[in-house]
Amino acid sequence: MKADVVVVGAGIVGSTIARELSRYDLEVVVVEREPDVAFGSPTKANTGIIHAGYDDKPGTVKAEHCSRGNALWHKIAPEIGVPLKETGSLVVALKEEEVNALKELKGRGEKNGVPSLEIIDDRERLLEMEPHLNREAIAALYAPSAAITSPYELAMAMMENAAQNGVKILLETEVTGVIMKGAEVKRVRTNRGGIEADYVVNAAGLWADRVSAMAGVKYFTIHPRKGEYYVFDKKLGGLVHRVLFPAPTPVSKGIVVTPTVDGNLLIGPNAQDMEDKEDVATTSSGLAEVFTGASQLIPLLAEKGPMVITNFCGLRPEPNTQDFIIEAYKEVRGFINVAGMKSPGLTAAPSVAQKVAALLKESGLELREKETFNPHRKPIDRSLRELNLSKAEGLIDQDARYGHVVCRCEHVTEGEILEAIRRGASTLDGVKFRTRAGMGRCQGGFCTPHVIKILARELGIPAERVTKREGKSRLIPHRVKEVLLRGESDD
Amino acid sequence: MRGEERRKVTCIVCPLGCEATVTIKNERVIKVENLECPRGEDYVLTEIEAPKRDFFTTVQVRGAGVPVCPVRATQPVPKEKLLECSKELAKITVDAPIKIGDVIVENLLGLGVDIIAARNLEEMEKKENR
Amino acid sequence: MIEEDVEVAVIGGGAAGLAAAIRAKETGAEKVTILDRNSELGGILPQCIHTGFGLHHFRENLTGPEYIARFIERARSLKVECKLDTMVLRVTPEKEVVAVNSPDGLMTLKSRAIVLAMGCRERPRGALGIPGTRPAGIFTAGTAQRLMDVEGYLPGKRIVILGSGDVGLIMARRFAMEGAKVEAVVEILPYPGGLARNLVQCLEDFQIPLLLKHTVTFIHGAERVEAVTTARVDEGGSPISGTERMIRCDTLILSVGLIPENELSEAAGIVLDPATGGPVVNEHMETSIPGIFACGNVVHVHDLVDYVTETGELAGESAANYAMGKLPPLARKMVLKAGQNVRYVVPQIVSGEEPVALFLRVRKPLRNVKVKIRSLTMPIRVVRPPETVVLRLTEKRLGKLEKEKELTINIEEEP
Repeated sequence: MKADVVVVGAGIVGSTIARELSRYDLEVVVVEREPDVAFGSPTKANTGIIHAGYDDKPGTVKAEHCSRGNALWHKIAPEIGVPLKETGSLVVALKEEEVNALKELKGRGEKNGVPSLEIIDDRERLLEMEPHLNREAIAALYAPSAAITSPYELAMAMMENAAQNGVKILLETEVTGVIMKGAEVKRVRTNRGGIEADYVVNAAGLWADRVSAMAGVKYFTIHPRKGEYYVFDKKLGGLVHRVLFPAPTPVSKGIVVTPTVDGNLLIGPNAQDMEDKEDVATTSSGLAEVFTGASQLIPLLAEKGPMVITNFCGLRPEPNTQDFIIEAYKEVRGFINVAGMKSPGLTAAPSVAQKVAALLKESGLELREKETFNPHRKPIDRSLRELNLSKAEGLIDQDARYGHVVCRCEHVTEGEILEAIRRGASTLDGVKFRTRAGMGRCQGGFCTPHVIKILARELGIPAERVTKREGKSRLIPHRVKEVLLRGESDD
Repeated sequence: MRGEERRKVTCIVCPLGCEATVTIKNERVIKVENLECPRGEDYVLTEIEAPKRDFFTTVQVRGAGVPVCPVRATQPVPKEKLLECSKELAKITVDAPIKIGDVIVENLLGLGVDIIAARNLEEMEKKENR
Repeated sequence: MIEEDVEVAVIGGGAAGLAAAIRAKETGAEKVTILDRNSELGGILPQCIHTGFGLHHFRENLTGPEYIARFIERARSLKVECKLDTMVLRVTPEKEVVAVNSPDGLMTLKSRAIVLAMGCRERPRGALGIPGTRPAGIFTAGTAQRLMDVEGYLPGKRIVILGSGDVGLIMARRFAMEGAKVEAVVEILPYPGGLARNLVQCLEDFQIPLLLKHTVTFIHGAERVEAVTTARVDEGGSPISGTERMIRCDTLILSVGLIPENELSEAAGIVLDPATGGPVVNEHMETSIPGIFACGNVVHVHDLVDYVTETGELAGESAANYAMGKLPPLARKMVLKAGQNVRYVVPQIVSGEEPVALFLRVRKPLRNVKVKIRSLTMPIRVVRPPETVVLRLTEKRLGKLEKEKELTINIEEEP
């Protein structure tokens, strides 16, 4: 296989870079080790905030790209049909000592070009803005340009748009080597064969240090920093209107309380340094920490335990250099690192993608803009879910399967599920993350058997082979009577 | 005492759920204590000497649009035969149409009970690939 | 958008909805429509292939499918209209039912009366917050039951079940009978949640260990469940450090609570009782919105389908009479309050003039108790949390009952 550029990783960064490169007349191949786009832990388990950009120290690479990325997402999200809600954010000081931190953040933000920052020290006004805020709140930094979105939907939509514009994606494909000739990249080796390419963009998230080392660039390491979350029932979705942060610590932005773009309430993440890049288990101490932390901002949460519908956990790719690593190298021409893209990685992605294009050009890649580039991607129609009944009627007239509701809690129809499968979903999670089927309050209790049957039918495989997310994750591995007839079965 | 065994049995005839203490010698019940009514005594005796259970499972079906049909035994079967009955019925596949009460297997394993269908299934085009 | 006028719209075609629709027809309503999201009628009954149904109602010992078949037949012969694979999106206080399905698209049923019979859903892993990974192989008991006994699949071969309520116990037996190995049933309380007969016939018969005062503290497995960690718990239900033990398995079945499915009720503004999770109903099974009735598990989680049928029939009769303008209002409203050792009582509002069956759930198991409502005293031999206590307030008993705005029901132990 041959390509002009190989992009390693189909998380939010890799897919945004792919979409950016799809503007140009290039053969771009994205290589992703997971069975689907956005299945890596950083993108899949993410707070989904488009940060305003006041957190990052001016002069850092993060600062360079965060507020720019914020502005770019406001333009791109509607193009690709992904919801982005400008809620604004509040960094809340609950103690006198924390107010200084707010001032420092405001100073940073102004230097970074963040618009309309304001420190509100009028408690009445704060409580008017957020009626359930801890009444001990002293002041808050208000950033109107912060927004919320769906991180995995964003990545999947970017990749779909990239594919519309000619980008190829190879899933379950892991890079095992970067082959050079002299000081130039020539080939990428994967578990499924080689790809000849002169340019490789390393957006491999948690594994970026490993891939970089394959090219001989070994000056940084990535270690996973775990963050756990709770999701609350949509009935609490209106409990807060903005993204609420506590005063930040050197380690993380803190445990957030935020509405989600789908209408739930999300709290988290905590921050725990790990060694194992595949440890995505939630822990009782981590979850407790998240709950306690969130209850500090919104005391009412302490009694809302019964309204939790699920929890999950992600891993941030922490670079030991403390900043984004977006570099090209003279000694390894054609190899671009885009590593350590922890927060604000998602926010910064579109700006970083433009920088990557510039680095590629500097490295000798010709970038000719494609006339046929289409920035628009139609989302899967969710008219019924949004109870846009007049629009839904038209949809059902065209395809009756949009009238057959499969996921009761989220009102997801068979039509949407079929569309998700058409767009690449081949697993239960693939359907779930594209349609929200299984994300409601019953967490798939009702719809899972139906979705399994639909996947089996559409993929032409027996239901026993349908998986949650490929590999060994078969959901219903045996036909009934099989085990009984075989007798005492082996494990 | 020599050759005697004492066992506890929970009576399930009524919600009281008395826990009877049963003395057994040579596999026969010689004493039942701690029961509040005679119905319980009948149950406990049977439960020790010849325990029976309702039997029900599913059998595979062809031509019904669904893959299995629930079935049940017309009479309780000996408790120790439950798994064997289940294994025996795993071997067969029935064809639609099926009506409640249709005899699926007569005199299963020679136990003197029939296995009958517990649901109505019409003959239908197979909906999925099985 | 299709618009239809119906006399009685029944939301849910399970045991409750079928009983209501049939009785509505028998009472004289002509246009009675059942809407159900499944592709067949029966609700949960078609997947309950065990016996024990109908002991009261038919005086027979039937399986779930056999029990409900009789109602499906009757509904058919009475020409109850059934819209299957149909999802109700909204119920308005003006008694409009907005629904959608494939063949008809969107529809609004303008109803004279509505019967809510949506049943209940199961509490999922997410709501419990069990730490660990999120692999394939975690199912609630009802979902596993559907997969096994309707779809024909065995979800796993080595099972751990969390929760010793009846649904979990019944699935323990089904798994064992289908050749799987049930490693343990884990129960956080010091006593099991299910009926004694199920403890004997589902666990003892198959030598399945019951771990009381234990819970699952961690789920292991990257892609598929590989093991669970269990630990003993203290009086408060918190895991005791040092008592952890790993049990290898490939499936975790959860039987940890049923929640009446009242999203539509709440959206319509119907008043719910926090103790039941369902609508507050009066002795006609009418909710706080006149003309909207409720029955079955959506009102409170029942243990015997026979009572679901009984109250379903009552709701259907009331709905039909309401639709025909023949339902008189209650002579007076007496609110029943749950007192000592009573978790809840349904119906919550009675008139004191009409005979009515009260359904109670108790907080702890007791023997030789007296149920007291003011001067009315009724002795009962035994009460247990998993079993509904039925008190039939006959005319004679009502005669002795004080007629007050609020009456508290207490369960007192005999000294």
